Amino acid sequence: MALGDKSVYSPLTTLKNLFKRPMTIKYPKEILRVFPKEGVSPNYRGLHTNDLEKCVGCAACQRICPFDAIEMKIIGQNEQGRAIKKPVVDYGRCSFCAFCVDVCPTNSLKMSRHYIYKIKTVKSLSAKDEVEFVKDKFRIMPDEKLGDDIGYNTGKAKKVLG
Amino acid sequence: MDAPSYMLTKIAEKDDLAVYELFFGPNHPGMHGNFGYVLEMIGTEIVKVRPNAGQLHRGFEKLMEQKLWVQNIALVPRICVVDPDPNEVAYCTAIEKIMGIEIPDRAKFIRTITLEMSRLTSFLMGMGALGAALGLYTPMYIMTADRDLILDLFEWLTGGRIYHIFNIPGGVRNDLPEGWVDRLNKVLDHLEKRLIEYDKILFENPIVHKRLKGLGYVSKEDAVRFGLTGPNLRASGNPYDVRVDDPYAAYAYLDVKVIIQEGGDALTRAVQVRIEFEETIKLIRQALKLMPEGEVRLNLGNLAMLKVPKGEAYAKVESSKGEFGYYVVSDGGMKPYRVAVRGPSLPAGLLLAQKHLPKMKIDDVAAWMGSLAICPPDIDK
Repeated sequence: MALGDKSVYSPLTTLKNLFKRPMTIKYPKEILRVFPKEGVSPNYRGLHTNDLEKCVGCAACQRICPFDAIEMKIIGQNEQGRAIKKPVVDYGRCSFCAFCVDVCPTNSLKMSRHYIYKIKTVKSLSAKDEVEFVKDKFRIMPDEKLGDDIGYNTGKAKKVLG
Repeated sequence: MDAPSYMLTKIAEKDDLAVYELFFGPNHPGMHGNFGYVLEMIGTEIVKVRPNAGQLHRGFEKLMEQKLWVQNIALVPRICVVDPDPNEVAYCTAIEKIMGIEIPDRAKFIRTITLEMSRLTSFLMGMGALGAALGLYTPMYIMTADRDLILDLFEWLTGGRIYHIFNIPGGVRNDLPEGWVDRLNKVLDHLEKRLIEYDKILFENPIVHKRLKGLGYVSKEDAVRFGLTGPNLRASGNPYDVRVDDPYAAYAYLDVKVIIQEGGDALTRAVQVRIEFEETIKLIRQALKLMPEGEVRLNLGNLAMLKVPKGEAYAKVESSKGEFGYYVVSDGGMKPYRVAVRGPSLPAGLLLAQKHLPKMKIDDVAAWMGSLAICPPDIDK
């Protein structure tokens, strides 16, 4: 790698970039076409989706979560008078490691390929109230709203943990 | 006309208030993270240096004692952001050593391939950052774009781009997806073609040669004495590579070429990374060719309830910056009793800095850091 003599035409090499596609993509208008599926990878670890009918509320996801992002919320009672619990994910803490998906015994908890989550903040709130407002908005109970586009999931046949 | 810098230094020496303190980092554009050097300066010359660590301290080692064995895998990659896989592999290998288990061959090869891919991303980032430290921004842009191609592959394989959380005790989380190997081969072809361009814009660039030649010289003995590892050690003429001397994952099956260079200055270290980059591509191709079929992990039952028998083990992995070591002690419970991490940047970032930085010009500090690939998170673990 010694210093070589440069060609006289070397400044012209930049011109070839005129005919190349740009590396950057326009967000969110342009769709990535890297993977077999359009958009992010087929195995993407995005926002959670949960089949609430299949979910038995066993709290395995809560126990495995490394960052304490999942808490079980009581949403009602069954015929025997027992509380029905479903997981609520705090996206302020979630690291998208997908251990909760791996550990789910009924395979109801999955991750979708959606990664955009937006909220509208109220401008009239004071700084202190805004923190509380945003904190609540980041706690979401996953349901099947995002179920149309499943990303990372472990079928029963290839369970990873347990 | 501006006075030359040495004149400023000479004028300043006569002044009583000549010595001033300059904070190089944490918010200096030439600094690689939340770390800094407090420099005592006369003019543009450094007189004394004090590493200012601790601003990135998250208490990793203590935190790991309070989490389940498997939960820690989501935590360890954060010790080195640009090269996260060695941490996962070292931690898992230490657990496997204590448990006395051997993972399936295919898992070993998948681990090797992801480790080498991680090395490529780190080298691209390192070479780009070195260029940027010298004011050459084009290499950085090109290399960041190329690094993204490897991150795409990681996203496809693991579901995450930066923190892969892919290795678990007993193997890896999933097998290679269909079509992934073809895509990897295409990316490797692309990177090989790109090497010519890297040489033109960075390694054959007269600016790089002029700025890096003779900067931060480390002799053969000093490199060992200070505890440098990885490319920095090999650039000083010491033939040591964990992949060859103490093979882990599938390196025992592969023909790893140890590259040594005499020289020991920043330019040699930069060229060392460039040559190792080429070797890494060859190594991935070798691993892909030899990869067997079969299972990708052992069934250890429910990993959330994993209990590691009483014992201790030290596992080391050759990362892009040097040797990452994990010393894990288990008391037979569901959580580690103690985890100690040996990071490769600590000797250079804290000790070597105090030898090299005095008498250096302020302009060279960022280039010196770039050439030694100092990564602050592993100083503050």
